[in-house]
Amino acid sequence: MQLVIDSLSKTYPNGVRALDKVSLTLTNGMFGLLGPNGAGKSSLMRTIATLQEADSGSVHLDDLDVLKNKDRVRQLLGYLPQEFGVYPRISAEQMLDHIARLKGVLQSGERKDLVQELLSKVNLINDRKKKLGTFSGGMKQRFGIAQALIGSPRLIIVDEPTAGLDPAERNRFYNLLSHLGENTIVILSTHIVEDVSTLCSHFAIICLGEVLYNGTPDAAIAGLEGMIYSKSIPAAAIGAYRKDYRVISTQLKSGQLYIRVLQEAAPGDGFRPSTPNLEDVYFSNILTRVPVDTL
Amino acid sequence: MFPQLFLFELKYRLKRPAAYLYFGFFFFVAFMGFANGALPVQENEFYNAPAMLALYAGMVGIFMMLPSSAIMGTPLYRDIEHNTKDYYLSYPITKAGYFWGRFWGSFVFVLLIGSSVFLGAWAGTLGGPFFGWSGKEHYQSFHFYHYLYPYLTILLPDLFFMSALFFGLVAVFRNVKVIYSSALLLFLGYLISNFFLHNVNNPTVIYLWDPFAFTPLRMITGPMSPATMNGSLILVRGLLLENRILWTSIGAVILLGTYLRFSFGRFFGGQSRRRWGHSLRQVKTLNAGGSLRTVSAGVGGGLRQGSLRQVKTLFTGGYSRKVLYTLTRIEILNIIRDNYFWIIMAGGLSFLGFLFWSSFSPYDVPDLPRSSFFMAAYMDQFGFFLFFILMFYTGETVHRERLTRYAFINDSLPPPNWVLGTAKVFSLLVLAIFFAVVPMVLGLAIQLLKGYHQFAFPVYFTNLFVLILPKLVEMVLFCYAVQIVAGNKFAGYAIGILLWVFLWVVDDQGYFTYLLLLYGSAPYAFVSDMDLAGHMLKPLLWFHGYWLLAGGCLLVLASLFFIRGTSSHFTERLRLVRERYRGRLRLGSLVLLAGYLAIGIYIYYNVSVMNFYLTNHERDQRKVLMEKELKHFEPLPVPTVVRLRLQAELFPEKQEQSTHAWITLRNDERVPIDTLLLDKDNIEDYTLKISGRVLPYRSPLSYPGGKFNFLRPARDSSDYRLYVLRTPLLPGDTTLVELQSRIVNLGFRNESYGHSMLYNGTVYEGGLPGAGYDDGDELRNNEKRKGYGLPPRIDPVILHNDPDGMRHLDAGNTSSLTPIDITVGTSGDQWAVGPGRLEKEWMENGRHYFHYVQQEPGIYPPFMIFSARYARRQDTVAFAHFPPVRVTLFYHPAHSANLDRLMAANKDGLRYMSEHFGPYPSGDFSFAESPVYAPNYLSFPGGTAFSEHFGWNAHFTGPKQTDYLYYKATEMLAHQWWEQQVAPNHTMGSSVISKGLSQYIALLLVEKKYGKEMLTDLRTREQYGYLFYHRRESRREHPLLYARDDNESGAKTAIVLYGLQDLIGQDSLTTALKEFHDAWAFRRYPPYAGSEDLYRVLQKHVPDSFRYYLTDTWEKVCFYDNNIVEARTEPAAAGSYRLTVKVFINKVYYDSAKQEHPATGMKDYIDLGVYGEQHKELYLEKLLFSEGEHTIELLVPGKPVSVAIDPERKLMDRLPEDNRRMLIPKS
Repeated sequence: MQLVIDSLSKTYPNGVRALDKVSLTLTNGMFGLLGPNGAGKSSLMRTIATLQEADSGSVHLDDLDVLKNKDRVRQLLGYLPQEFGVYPRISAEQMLDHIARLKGVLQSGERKDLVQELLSKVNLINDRKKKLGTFSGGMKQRFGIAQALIGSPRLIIVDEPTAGLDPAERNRFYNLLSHLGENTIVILSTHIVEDVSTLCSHFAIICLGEVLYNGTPDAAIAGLEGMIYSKSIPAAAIGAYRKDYRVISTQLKSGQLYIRVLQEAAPGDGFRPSTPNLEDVYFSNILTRVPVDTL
Repeated sequence: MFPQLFLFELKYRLKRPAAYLYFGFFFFVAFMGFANGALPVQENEFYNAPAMLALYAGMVGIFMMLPSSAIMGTPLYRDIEHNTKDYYLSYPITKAGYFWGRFWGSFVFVLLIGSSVFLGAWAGTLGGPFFGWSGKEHYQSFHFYHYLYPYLTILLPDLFFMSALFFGLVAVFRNVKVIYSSALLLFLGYLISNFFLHNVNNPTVIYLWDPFAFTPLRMITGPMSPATMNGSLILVRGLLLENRILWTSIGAVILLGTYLRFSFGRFFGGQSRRRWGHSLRQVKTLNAGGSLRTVSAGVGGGLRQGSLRQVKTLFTGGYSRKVLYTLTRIEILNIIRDNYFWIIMAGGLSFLGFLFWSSFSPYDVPDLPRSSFFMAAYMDQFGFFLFFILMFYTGETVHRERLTRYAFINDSLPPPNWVLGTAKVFSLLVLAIFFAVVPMVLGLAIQLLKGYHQFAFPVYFTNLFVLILPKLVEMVLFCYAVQIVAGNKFAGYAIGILLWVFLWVVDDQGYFTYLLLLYGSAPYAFVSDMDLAGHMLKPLLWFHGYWLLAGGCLLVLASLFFIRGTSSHFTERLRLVRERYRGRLRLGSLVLLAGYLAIGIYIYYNVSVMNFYLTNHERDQRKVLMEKELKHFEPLPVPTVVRLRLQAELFPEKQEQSTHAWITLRNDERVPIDTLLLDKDNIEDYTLKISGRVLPYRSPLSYPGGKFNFLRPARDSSDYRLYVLRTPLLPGDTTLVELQSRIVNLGFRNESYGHSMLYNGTVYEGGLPGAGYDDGDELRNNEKRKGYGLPPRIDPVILHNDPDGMRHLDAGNTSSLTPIDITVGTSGDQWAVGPGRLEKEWMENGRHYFHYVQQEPGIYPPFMIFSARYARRQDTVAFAHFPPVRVTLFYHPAHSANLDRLMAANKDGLRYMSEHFGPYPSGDFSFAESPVYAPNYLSFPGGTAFSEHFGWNAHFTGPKQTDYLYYKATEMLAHQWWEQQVAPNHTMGSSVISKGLSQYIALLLVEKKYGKEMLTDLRTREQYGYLFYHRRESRREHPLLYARDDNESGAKTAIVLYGLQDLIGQDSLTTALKEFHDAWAFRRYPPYAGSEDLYRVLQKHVPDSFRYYLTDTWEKVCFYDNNIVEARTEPAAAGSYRLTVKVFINKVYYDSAKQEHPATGMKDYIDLGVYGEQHKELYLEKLLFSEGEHTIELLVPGKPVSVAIDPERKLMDRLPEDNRRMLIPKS
């Protein structure tokens, strides 16, 4: 399967340009979307998930025109929104059963098994009779994951799926996703750069509605090979360093400030070469558009 | 802290449009209302009368629920909704500052919006004259206090109560739904109070249950004359004050209670604290599951690893159908798993149960629990309540996904838009069906509980499927479309409710009544036991079909505007509309629209082509035109009908009546008659022949056609025809006229019609045109008359010695003692009940024929014939000196509960009156059940008719209940003497003969059969009715000699005559009446009897000592104002008690300007009564009193409990309540 996004643009009524000629091509496997808050990640995902109209551009899933043929897309889709609610007076089991019906799992025995399997996968099996209105944030998020996986979706979109999950849950979820990714397109948006490097075969960095980078994590890191240098400096000196170097990240630790800079050649001045990581890729790209001050 | 939060709230509100919109709306409505006089004002009442302003405040209070809930419900909820809790929990904000800051900051706006009502009203009083909409004379000069007082006493407490309630509820329950359920319950409180106002006279409920005080205000202003309305403020005191204190206190208690209980932790934490504990437990399990990144499957982790099973998904075949089912199911679950739904249901059902249980109860005697009453009462009382519930749940259902934010998941699921939308509509329709079935289920339950087994399923189902369900479905479709298009729940509520109320007001108040343009409206119809919906079934089905298709079009509109995904702005929605409007939807909508228009055309053809519709304005214009063009015919002499032979064919199933009549006319005037002006009334067409030749005529008047009837001819000829006789009819001469006429209902009309032509229940009145100019059709409202340049219309004063009045009968200008010979045919299964003696009854060609004759002495027309599928019960009254009379009851077979009672009343009455006043002139007396639209009771020559509504199904359970059947049946029967034998002439006060004497005799018969207690009860009721009239009537009241109003000529005359027989003895009065009867009965020629003739006879029989009583009542308008000032008692010897009573005696006369003059030199006989335990009479004597205070000492044989002046209510007392006093033992 292939998802081709071509020159997708969207401007909100308040003038915010959420998507600016976004073009991406995705294939089976996990695709990570990185970007600061308000970059347009959610707008992009909502547009693909048929929840939002685009002003221009196109999205195709193989031959399927996603923007026009929404009903068909929805039949292939598993979507976990960044933020969502539930019917407060319906139980988790009943709600999953309901969604499974809507997702076309009409054979009742099959559906029942599926719901039980999902409930145990997300460890809600003991809470299955509880009303969703009584669920905690983490439970709700796990419910959200379960519903997104119903009906063998071919395109899974998960928008910051690990919010509200503890580290163990987060890892289990990623493992689950990796299993799915083999014959499915999974689009994952996250703030956590590390997640992308460990999980995703491809990723893109979006900022202010524009795609700044698109490729594999390894290639992205390789591209910075030999260009990242780090140094520990007094915190007060940062102003001067900003003037002279492209500081891409800073980290304050016990009164000392560790900075990382992007330079074509070794800057000397006490800087030591450092192994580039995906975070460097992220910051170096973002910095071209917006100031990033991690202090 | 308070100021910051207070100011924050103010600033927030100032930036939002809602407050401005509400202010503007209420200002505008008040402005238009007061500028145009679109208010329930009486003639001569100022639009800005203080009482009117108070009433308006009470009414607006109900509608203020909208802004109050919108403004007061949101300030706290906003913080929950926007998740601002973290700020509030971490900032140093005080509870008091937060709570009161939010409350007052919002309440100020509610108060401002409330003030718009009075600003608008004031602006309206200036704007009306300024724009020339209403004359200056409608307004009195500006008094600030008139506006301030109702604002402070009526609206302000309303607003405070509602604001406190809504604010407090959100603080406690942390959601907004609670507001709407409580608003519905408040409205229910108003409905209950309103129901009591109209049906059960229980002041405590009426005054206290209405949180808006609108019903109490209506109760207070109800009997007020315009002068009182104009003159004084409605002072808040007594029960009204209690109402205000009660509801304000409830508001204050709610507010304080909420405040004391309020804590940030609970408010913002609320359920999440519980959640927290919950998730801690979860985390523990998770931690036990394993460490980071080394998770293996199945070790009890939060998410288990491993790929999922592959399932088969199917989106074809039965997918849509199955998914529609599951979606509808979950929508319904969402509604019914909500506690508020059950709270509302419980409130509504308990009121409905109460309403059904107490039933329709004239004279406090409940009717049997009949299905027809249940179903009619349901829509009557609950129409708006149901609309509000449906509106509320439509808002919830339409916006549920967005409000719970489940939309992000739901809207990316596969079902197409139409399935999602249809499921919502279906769930709401299920709700509508539930509400339609509720009254039937509850009704059946109550019938079973009461042991009543006439379930009348056809009545239930006709109501259910023809009246209730279509209406509810129309409501749902309307609400749904409004909510979808509005795109916002609150906007949807406001728009929907205002539109619906608007639709109702314009129709109900008669501003605009063309039903074809008023969504959801259909002509009124009552589903009766006798005829079900009858001929109204057809228009009802067409109209509802029309509106259901309109609802279908609304659904199309809604599907075009259907919101899916993130809500988008309007231009994008419009773009989507264009995109969506194609393919099957487009085709479907065109089919719907075509169907809608086709039915519309058919209805239009019926309403405006076969029949015609006139606006109120056009109707007035026609009346004016008639008066201007034809008034000069008024003095035209009219011949008298002196003999009538008639063949009538009734076709109830076709709503058709045809008449072939031979009428002998006589000229009783002193001039020749050469021209006849005839009025068609409801006759479709007729021809007149004299000596076998058709009489030509011309139409003296035609009207311009109504603007809603553009396919009809440009002019409609009026009902009047002018005939010129070939040979004038000379005074004293007679001529025979042959008439053929046809009455038929073609198609159906804009309004309810054909009330006397039901399939089962036809009233035939002879099919004859009226004669002469009918001043009863003139425009009555003097305001309007002035506008059209007509002189003011004063009720005609026809003096007792008016020669014209004495020569004519009150019953009609052509009426005189007429021998009749009537043959009437009707459907084979029906019986035609007619006047006179039934000579013969036979079947011919499958039709049922009857021959009624009354040759000697004849009847005084008009007569009536009732035809229906009657069951009959017969009995005979035998007399010593006269031939027997056959009494027949004609009734609907299911309505047989009270036949014995009715039969007894008629037999007793026939016996009593035959013996005392002379024999009943015919061998047959009929007592028939008339259609449900007919008056409750009426008398016609040879019979009485009680409508289906009245009495037939009274449920008597004890001997103490007032037997109003006996009372009204004997009263109606008495008209056979006092109207059919002594026919009143056409002068002022003559109707005391028919109405007054009949009612008096009915009182006597009740006393004879049931004793004094029931009689006193009836007299008290009649007096109460008269006092209401006395207080309300702005124009002068009349002495009995000049009685005009039914209250004067009926109830008051009866009470006065009863008092008279109490003074002079019943036998003396009976002798007097017999003398009067014999002098005037069966007159063939004028003059006829008037009130003065009766009075002269009475005078003759009243001794001088009681003359004062006769003069007071017949020549003057007089009221007593007696009361017991003080009463003490102490034991005396041998179980007897000594009693000291101080009474105050007062009598006032009213002059023609309604000014009071106290009586002097009184020497009146008034009863004084003393009563012991269980109302046992210990003493009752007539004492002679002069005016002023008197102390009376008595010795009574037993322990007295109460003492009363005029205990049996024989006199007209202005304030009867203070006539009785409980006794205090002397210390």
